[in-house]
Amino acid sequence: MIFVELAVAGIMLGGVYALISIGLTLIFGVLRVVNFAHGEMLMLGMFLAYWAYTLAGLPAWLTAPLSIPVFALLGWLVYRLVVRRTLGMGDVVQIFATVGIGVLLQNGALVLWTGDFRTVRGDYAEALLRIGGVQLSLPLLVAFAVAIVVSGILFLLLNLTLEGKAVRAVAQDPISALALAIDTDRVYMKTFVAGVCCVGLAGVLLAPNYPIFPAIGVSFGLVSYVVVVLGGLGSMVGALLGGFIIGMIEVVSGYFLATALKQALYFVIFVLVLLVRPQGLFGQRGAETMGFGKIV
Amino acid sequence: MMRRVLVVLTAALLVSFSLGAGGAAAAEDVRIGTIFPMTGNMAFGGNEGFMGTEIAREIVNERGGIWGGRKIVFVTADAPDQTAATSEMNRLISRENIKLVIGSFSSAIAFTASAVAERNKVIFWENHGVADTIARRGFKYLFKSNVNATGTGGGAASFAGTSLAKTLGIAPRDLKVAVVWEDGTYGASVGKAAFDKAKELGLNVVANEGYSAKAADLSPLILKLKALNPDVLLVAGIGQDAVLFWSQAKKLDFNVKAVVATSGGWGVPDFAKNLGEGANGVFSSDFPTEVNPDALTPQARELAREFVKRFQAKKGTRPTGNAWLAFAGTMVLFQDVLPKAGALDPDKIRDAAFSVDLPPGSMANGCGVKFIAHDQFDGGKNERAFAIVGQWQDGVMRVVGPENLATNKPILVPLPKWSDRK
Repeated sequence: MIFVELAVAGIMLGGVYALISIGLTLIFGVLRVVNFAHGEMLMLGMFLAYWAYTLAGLPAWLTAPLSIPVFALLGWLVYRLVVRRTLGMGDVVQIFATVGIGVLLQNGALVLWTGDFRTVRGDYAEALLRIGGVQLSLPLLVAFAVAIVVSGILFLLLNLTLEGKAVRAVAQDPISALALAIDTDRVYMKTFVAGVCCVGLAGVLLAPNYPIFPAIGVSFGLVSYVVVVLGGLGSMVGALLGGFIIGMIEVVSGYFLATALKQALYFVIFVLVLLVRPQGLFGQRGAETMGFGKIV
Repeated sequence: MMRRVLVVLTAALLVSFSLGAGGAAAAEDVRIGTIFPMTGNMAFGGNEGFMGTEIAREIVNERGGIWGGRKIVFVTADAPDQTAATSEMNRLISRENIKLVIGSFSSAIAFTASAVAERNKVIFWENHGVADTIARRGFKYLFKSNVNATGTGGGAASFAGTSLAKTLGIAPRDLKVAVVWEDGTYGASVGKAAFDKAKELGLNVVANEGYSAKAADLSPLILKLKALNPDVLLVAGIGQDAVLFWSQAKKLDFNVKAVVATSGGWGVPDFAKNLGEGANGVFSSDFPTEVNPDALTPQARELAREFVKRFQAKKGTRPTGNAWLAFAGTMVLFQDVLPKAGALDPDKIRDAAFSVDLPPGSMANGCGVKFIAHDQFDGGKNERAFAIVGQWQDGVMRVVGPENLATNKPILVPLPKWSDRK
């Protein structure tokens, strides 16, 4: 019984990590910008779900579709005001710019909402399912399903539509893409907005399962960087599988070894992957230097 | 246009930061440093600790200040982590020329900040940090007004092995106990004290597990505990990890007969607010809060009442153990130590602190004051500080032990299963 419970917990946790990582890998894959404000955007999604529930009684599943325009606007603003100006300007500029946004968001949240933790409650948030003796949280199952669906949709969009092909073209070589009359600035903007919407959605859907406070993005942010590097920077399938691998490792090692060691173990695996397969499981070799995310 | 907006916003931010740092002090003011985690992971507790400290300052200033009418002003520092604690302490000492610093909510912050103070021969007055190690480094400029980990962690195990075992009708050697602690300075110290005491009492310890309080998810730990099926959980959590642990325990249907926490994240109002009914019944070997007024001296009783009133006016909730520690400890410093010291001179403050000798019931939270000499074991610690046993009852942490301080009787022993609760 305990092994079934462990397997279910590992897959669910993996789904959570995958859901959070999709937006990060999308933005990196095309813009070559590591968004260090990713965890803080997740935190904003959680607070959105909290306030929607507290002020209007909306459960998280209903807030989720409504969050998309909100985060699209946020993504657009951050892109226009900051990220766009850093493209092609070197790693240090991009790191400091996105870290700065993260600090601003986290401390803004602290000023507005204090450091207290909050919990989304209500029927949906507390709903439990019992399947064959294993107890499961309904919102967690929904988050899991959305992770699969969203990564599937993005995968299909990128590979089958003309728009998606333009995104991939820009990712591979912005100058040739321009020669084919693709508006690179627009592609970057759309991709960034899509990435921010993904992480906002993740925050809303995960809100019922975790205490919410301004610094929560830090712990989830760290895991998502590991997931994305493990899966391969820029790879949608990689983020999904990377999430599941880290989730399983965490649960299994936490059970069989000491709980305190679970993070140590996945960092060991992380280091090994970097040594043996630096591009990650599904990444392209040299993806981190390929292209230059420049508006031309 | 956009650029101008940004400039204005940046300027506004800078102004608010410099105001937060205390502003300039008039020449005759008594300038004392404070260091708390006001932002970051521990902001909830840091702000609460600071509020308790600040209320002590307000009361003393309104009642005529110290040293013939001089007002106390705080030069504040924000230390969300240990690195910041070092740099902020250096700033307070070398740039602001501070001779006395009050802190700090967190054991980790206290551990680091007091080392910087010691090196610079500046008094570090700690009202919270419970890690035993803080006062076991032979420091000469450190005072710790509160109970330490041996008191809270050991107190949790004693309560489980005596009172709880009896109520549950299980012999102490058959009582299956799981000891779980966050692996930072605080939890490791308290967890070890609980584990040692449980062993000493001959309880059946089935698990002794550390975990990272920064972990995003605790389901692996809970599943492991569920498989071990303990009767009693002794747990040291520091912040939101407590809420995460207990809400995931509910979602994963992990049932125990009783939980005895060691304050920290399990003892703060946010815990009850976030878990609602689920918090009720959880015990905490905790810092003394609103104890039975009959156990207090008339002066302490008046201060306690005034404190509750002011805290409620500021925050809208009753003060927690952390806020009580901050207030009661700072009042000792302002009312009993500084007047005797006569000046902000570290050596004079130290002599004055050692001369204070107050019986239990003298502090607003029911403790007494007598500092252990710096060349002794636990030097600088207040030997008359102790832990109480509290319990969440209808969302309020009530004092249920020891008997002379108790205001309520324990309820919900054994805890009902999650499936039987609403």
